Amino acid sequence: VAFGSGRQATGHLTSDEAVVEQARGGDRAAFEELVRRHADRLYAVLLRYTGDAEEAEEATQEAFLRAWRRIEGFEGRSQFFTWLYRIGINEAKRRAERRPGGGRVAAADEGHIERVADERAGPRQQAEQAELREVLEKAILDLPESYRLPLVLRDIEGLSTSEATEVMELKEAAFKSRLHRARMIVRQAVDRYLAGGESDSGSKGS
Amino acid sequence: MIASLRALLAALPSLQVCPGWGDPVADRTAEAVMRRIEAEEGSRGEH
Repeated sequence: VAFGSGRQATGHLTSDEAVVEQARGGDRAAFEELVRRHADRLYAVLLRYTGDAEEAEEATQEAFLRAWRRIEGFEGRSQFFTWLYRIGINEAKRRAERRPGGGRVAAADEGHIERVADERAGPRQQAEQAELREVLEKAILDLPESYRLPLVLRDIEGLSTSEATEVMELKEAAFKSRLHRARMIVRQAVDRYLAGGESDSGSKGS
Repeated sequence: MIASLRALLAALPSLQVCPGWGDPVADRTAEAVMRRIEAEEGSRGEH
């Protein structure tokens, strides 16, 4: 599986730019094609961002609806998907602020995060991989939001630095500083776990 | 075991969520979004 292939629109006969141009002219079928190309990856980013599957799906739908309403004004100065991700993240932020307790993202709804076992690994290795994933997932969800997003976009979703800075509307230096900090925090959490076999309940608030 | 930051970073992409595997998010999203667009534009046309 080529991750991010929808994002880059490789494997599609028509480039995103051409389909966007059609959608800008009011072609609904073209816009539907853009939704089908980008919905999965936008949902994945918002799921990591919100930690809640239902919330992520609703924010994904709302983001596309907003994108449709504004697409005439999209001038192609950025790539379609970075523009779309920005709309989606702003939508998820707005929704989080409206929720009781405002702004704090929910804990991970881990049942909705698909776990893919490496079938080449033996049972013991698979168990170790699963444990490592769990530690990493928790460390990432415990990150402050401003650190979590750079790490999700760059290290999990595989965006380039310039794409991720465009999504976050940050200067490269600020983005890199947050990314570095995020990586360090995650690494420390993993190190603590490996050093002491720390339980899940003991690693918050550090 | 994660011995270095490089190894940690190498492990991160494996956390990528793949909703297409068993959860048709793209289809569901496309259907819901296009339904809402049609409803919005339909009601705009009536006015």
